[in-house]
Amino acid sequence: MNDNKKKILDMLAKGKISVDEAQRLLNAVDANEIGSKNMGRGSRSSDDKVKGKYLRVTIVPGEESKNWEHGSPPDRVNVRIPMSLVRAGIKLSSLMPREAMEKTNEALHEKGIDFDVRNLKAEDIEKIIDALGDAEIDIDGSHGEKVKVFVE
Amino acid sequence: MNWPPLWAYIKIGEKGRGFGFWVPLFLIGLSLFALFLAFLPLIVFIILVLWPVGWGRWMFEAIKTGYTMMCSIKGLKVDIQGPKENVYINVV
Repeated sequence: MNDNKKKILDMLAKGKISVDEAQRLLNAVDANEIGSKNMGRGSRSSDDKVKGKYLRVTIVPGEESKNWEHGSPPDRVNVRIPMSLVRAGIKLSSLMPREAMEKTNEALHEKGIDFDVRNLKAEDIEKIIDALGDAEIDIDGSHGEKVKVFVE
Repeated sequence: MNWPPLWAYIKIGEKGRGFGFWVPLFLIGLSLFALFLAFLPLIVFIILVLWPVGWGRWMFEAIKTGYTMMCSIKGLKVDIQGPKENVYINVV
């Protein structure tokens, strides 16, 4: 077991990080090790990244939700979506009829999103997926709930 | 080649009292495949007729994308724990 993994397990034991965060860090350490081994063998360039397999969305209600007064308290959500499904879903957008695309664009513009769905091409999908792999969304709600979106 | 998922485990119910069951997705997949084979000549005919108009290619791409999405569901996991009931779906 290398030093990085020991540090991660140490932080987990001390309660400095959660189990989910520890798992992500351990996966990242493994990915780095695989990357450096493959570089030695020459089979992967230094620009290649290990692509994530799943898109994870977790919602954990906070301590304040126990005294929730606005109807039912928020649910605990843990969703794991295969990245291949995300890719297929994005490719599905290219099959939208023109009228549906125009309505979608109108709805996006109303929300202030200046994006044209017609500009989404199949070759851009891998770039979007790669960018998604680097993205990590961490939101602390006003009632203590934690929302996390990340790729693992 | 990617294959569609074989099983799905679904558990729905109140906290502590839910029941789970395995859904044989491979049976549903086999049934859909049999239906597809039965209607294949008609589908091919429609695609060829509509190809010059552009809709034929759309149909072809739609069928291909539909199959890709069906195969990509493998690994999907949904775990929602509400105050009164839980939902758990795992596609393997």
